[in-house]
Amino acid sequence: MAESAAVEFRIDRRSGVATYLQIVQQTKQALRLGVLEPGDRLPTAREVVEATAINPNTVLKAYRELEREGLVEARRGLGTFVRRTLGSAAVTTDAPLREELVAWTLRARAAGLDRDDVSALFTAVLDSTFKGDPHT
Amino acid sequence: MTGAAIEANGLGMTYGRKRGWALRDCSFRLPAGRICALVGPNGAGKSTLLALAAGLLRPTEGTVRVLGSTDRAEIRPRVAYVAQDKPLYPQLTVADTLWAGRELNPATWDADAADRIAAPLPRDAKVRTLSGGQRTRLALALALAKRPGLMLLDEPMADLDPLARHQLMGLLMAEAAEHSTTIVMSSHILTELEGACDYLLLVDGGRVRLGGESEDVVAAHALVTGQVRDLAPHTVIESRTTGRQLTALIRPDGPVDAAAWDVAEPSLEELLLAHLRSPDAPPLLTPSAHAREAVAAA
Amino acid sequence: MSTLAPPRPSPSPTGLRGPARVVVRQHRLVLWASVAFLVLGAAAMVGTRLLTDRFADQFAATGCSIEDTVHGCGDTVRSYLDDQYLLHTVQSWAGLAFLVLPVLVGAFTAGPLIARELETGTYKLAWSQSVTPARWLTAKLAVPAALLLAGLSVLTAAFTWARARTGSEYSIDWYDTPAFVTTGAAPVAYALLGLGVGALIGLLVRRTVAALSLAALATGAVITVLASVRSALWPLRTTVLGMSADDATITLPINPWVVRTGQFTSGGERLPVDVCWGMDVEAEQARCMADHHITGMFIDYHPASHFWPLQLVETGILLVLAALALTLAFRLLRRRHG
Repeated sequence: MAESAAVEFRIDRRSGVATYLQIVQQTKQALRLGVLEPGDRLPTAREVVEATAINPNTVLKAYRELEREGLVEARRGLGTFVRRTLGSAAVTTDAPLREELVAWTLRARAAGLDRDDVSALFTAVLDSTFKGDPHT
Repeated sequence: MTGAAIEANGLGMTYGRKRGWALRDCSFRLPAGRICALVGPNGAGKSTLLALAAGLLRPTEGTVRVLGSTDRAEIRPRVAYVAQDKPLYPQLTVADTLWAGRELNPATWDADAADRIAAPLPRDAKVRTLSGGQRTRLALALALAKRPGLMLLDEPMADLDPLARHQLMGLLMAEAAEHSTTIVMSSHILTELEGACDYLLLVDGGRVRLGGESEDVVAAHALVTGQVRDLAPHTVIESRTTGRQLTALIRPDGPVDAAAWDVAEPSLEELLLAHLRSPDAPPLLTPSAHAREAVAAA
Repeated sequence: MSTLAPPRPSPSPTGLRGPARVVVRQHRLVLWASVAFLVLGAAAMVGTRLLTDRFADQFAATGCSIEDTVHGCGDTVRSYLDDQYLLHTVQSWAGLAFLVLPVLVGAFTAGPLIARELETGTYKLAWSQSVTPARWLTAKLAVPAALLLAGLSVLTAAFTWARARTGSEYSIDWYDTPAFVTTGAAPVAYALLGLGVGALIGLLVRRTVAALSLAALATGAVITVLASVRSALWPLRTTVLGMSADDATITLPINPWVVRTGQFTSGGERLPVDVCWGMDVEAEQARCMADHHITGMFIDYHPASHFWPLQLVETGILLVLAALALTLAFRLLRRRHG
């Protein structure tokens, strides 16, 4: 058996987001945050479905999508491996953008907004800013 | 084109003239390699359909072809079936039960799989002392160690606590992932199966009313809201009027007028409920779910 | 030769090996109890024979005789006869046990063996393995059939050997029911009848207790009916006793089975033997007989030489019934479950 996989997926049945998209998004998130690096092995379909009880074809569909985007590659008999990292260094933990967001979030809390208020505000701004962009 | 795991043609079953038809005029096809949710209300004919496919019952009319064959003796070693009540011999121990599985399936038995799946069970405990979850695990161990091409599971997750349900469903999915086993699971609770299944058969009143890839079945429908007006040429499954507002589940025939209607994709559950509430809605089988013989004969 | 190849179980030509072994494992207790019962039965038979011999030898050594009453032998003779009678009783009960056995076989086959699987749904487990329902039923019946065949062969031999003790003062007559049901192939045929009836009723009734009771009743009914019609299974012989003095002697072979006696008229009509009984005056009786034109008496009987024909016909009927029941059972299974 190869070394253990670098990430594991959490599937939220009630999120309304298609299951395969959740895997794609979580993989990308892990790539952005540096949790996954080139050469890392993604869990096999068997491992994912055993832990999450979802359909194996869903996992394969997600991996095909990631492969199509050039993020991972399937090596026959070995597994699926990360080819490259994703996005800018801006997302990593010490980037200035993150610091600004942290500072903004702290200000929002000081102003009396609770978690849901902040989240709603952020989502609204996000939606209006990226409106019309192709969806991932 | 991949082969069919199950292909039913005009399948009908009655348990005696007075009792009416448990299943009538069923024609559908389940492509191999799918994990299929067989859903429908209690008494819809789900168990009958599974027992027919498993070769436990002889159909009153029509045929059911399983893994490309109608020869039951040939099919039997390649199909696993777990009945709703998870029948096991109560006086045998867990170890005895697995031993019996090997004796009865000499050609295909995978002892490693049996031991792995049954590992959490006390080997020397009598079956009658096992809990519901343990019984289900043992029944699944027997079924999976047979290395079937097709697994027929009648309400496999009923009576299980959420943890056991998640574990065993994961186990099933893992085995299916590794051996590309076709699985049919029945349930009257869709949410039990929603994440695990990519194919859907809705049986109601002894007939197949919906069949096909879950995505395609959902995509063939739309939930529309707007001012009350005629929805032609679309097929209306169910509609409800509140004041001037009409909400309807339709099967669009051509594009839906987006200016007049607020269009949304229904959830699988909304879709099934709408069909169960409207028994007269015409059946829908996606192309992959059409029985080929029937198509050829037509 | 490679020693690395994993040992493969050799496939049995009948394909019965796996299912039959599972049946044995499932019903271990009953099967062991049956073996113990058969062994004990055979041992008891051998025991009675040895005891009979021993008592006879001891009695012979006393110099007493049953026929000639000698002074001082009274107690010895009485005690010897008591012992012999006790052994006879044991043998008679053993003979009856041969009749109870098929009823038990029928009840077990119908109830615990078959109907319980149908009732509790475990047949769904059995039939969804790589075994057809027909092979399942074959294995279910073959295991007890093999056990009964072997066990009853031994038991029958032991019983026959025990009964064959000559000079025993009390013996089971050749025409008694225990004689018929304990000899030759009859015990096996009776057991197979129980098996066949049990299989059919088990499949039909599908409820353990109901099937068990019904099969016991049905098997018992067949046994009772056969016992009541047994004398008709082979042509009777008739001997006639005329009224005239010169043919007023009856010629009967030794130890006949007298089935029916009566009187016949000049017209050849048969009348019951007691038509003119109960007359006080002899003349009255003579008049009665004259009125009825009674010219003689007849006796319908089987000579001892009829034992084997009668017994073989009975065995044959049993085997035909068993085969019929088994055929119906398999046909029913195939029609319902394919």
